Amino acid sequence: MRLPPIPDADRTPEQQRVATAIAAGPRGDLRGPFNALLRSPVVAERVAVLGEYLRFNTSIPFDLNELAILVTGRAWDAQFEFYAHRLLALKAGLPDAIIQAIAEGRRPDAMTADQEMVYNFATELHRDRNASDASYARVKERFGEQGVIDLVAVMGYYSLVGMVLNVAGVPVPPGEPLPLKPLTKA
Amino acid sequence: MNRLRMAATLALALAASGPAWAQDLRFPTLAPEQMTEAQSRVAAAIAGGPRGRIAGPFNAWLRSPDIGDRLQRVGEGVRFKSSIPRDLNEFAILIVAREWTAQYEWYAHHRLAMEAGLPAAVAADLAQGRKPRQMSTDQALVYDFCMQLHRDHQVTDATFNAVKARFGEQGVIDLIAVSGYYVIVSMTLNTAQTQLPAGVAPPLPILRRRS
Repeated sequence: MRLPPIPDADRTPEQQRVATAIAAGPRGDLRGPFNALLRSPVVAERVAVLGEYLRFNTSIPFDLNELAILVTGRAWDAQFEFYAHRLLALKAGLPDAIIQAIAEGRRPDAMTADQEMVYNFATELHRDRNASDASYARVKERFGEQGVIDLVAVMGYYSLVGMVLNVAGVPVPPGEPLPLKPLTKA
Repeated sequence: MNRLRMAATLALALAASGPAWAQDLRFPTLAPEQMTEAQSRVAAAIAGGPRGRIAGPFNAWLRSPDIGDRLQRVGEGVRFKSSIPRDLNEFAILIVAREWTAQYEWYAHHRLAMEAGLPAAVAADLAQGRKPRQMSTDQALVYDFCMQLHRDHQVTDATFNAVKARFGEQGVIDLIAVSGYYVIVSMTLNTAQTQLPAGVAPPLPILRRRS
């Protein structure tokens, strides 16, 4: 691991303050990207506050939010992100077959209208760098302008998180298989 | 601050910012009097901070004011509190703009990059999708790190170690954070279809993407 957790004794007072604040929030600890992010405490603190909204306060229903995160984890080949959010997605009621298809880079077969809407929007934004008029209009119609922004923000935030996890080398827990296989690029 | 004073302060800040107010095809510009209290509070915080005005992604982000506020604080961190020297930080931002073909982002940050001393030839090559031919050691370091991050979603050990040796572990995180934050900005600008000011030609040619 390139940027492992910083032992308590080695933290600067600023790092300690930020670590305590993050652990006191709804996450409860520094798992995922936050041990690595602590190298830049101002960034760590502000990214954590952003992530809190996108995990716990977003206007997008939990299962659809996790669907967008999984598409993002796949787009960035972020193993830990996909591993961690697969569990949260299952807990939120997203069908395993959909998760498996995303992991394999396939379009899921059976999706509800809402799932398909989010899948299309997210896939287009990562792949084409923008959502089509049709996908944009559907999300706006269903969740309003706020929903569009919350969806874009969660995908962007988890792009940032995926970058941190990959560069820091945050591993999936011992014994867990890597959820993502390499895809052949078109 | 009460609502009226807030709206007045905001109207003043926006008047000062003039035509820089973003024009988004997909998100009509919010006038101060149309804003909810939460929206005008966040707009005032943005216009009253080091940016001094509302431009770029902020008109779109105000649709979800709580997220807009949290995003602008991350943005302030990666722009104004970074350990990465300003010219290199702006270079990293231009790389994101090129990768996402985010025209407005390139337009806004090209000026800032030039002010910070990034050579025009480096930016010009990047705009064309070429590896810049004449780069300093530091510029080449940032280029390799950021391009690997965007294209391969990972950096090599050699690149990681070189950035860590030069800018420390904080530098590594600051470089990733600025890259990630501007991915969020690019996604927003592209989704919002944020327009360039009238009379400005798109600075980035459309390239065939490699991935």
